[in-house]
Amino acid sequence: MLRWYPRAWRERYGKEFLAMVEDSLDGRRPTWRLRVSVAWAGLRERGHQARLTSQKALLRGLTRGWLTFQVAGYLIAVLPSEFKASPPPARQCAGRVLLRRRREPVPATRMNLAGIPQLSLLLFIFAISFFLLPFAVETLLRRHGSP
Amino acid sequence: MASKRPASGLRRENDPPLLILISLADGPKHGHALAKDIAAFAGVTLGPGALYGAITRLEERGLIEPLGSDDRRRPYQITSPGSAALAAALADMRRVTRTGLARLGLDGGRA
Repeated sequence: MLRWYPRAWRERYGKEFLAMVEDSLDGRRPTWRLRVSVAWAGLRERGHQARLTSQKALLRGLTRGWLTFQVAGYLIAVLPSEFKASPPPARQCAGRVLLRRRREPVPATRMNLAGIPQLSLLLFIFAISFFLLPFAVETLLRRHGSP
Repeated sequence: MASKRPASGLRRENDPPLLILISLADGPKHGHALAKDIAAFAGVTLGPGALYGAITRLEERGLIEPLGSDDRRRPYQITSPGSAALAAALADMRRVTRTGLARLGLDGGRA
């Protein structure tokens, strides 16, 4: 009788449903009318589950589409303005714009941050010069027999 | 509008979910006890399919909840949202009933 119902429903309600059917039959055989009504209810339950599943899928699709739309909008917003539309012929080309920007003063905070890698490289070269190179030269001279 | 469903999700007097909530209002019951009680107070015979379809919807909406049981017959009880939904539905029905009785002149003329 339960095969008309979805599996998840059978696992959740199957035992108590059959217990109720047994109680209501009170030892008699199930009538065809009862079988038809149970089959109809099972098919309705399948339809309900299918509707729920399709609604969840639709909601998931809409959520993904909305997130994609948001990310795409953010990327378009942060791209340089030159990429949004090609400049008209009478305006300056992108190369001139970039050159002009290079001549503009750089804020102090950006200069400080940009100088950190160069300073680190200089410190590394000094360390090599003062500690490692004399040791290497001494080793080479000893290997070639010089005092 | 005749087909409009109230906010509680319960329809009119022969609606199985409404009958189940009324039956559970005086204490937990399992499936067969629910069917017998509903037949006694409403004269409506609910088959296993209709009864468990309504139980499934009510549990999905959090209006009833199952109680732990070692037996195959699992009892259900009404929840607080279920009591509120039942009270709202019954108040709505009482308003409609009073209006109908008043218009028939059977309720002392109150509308």
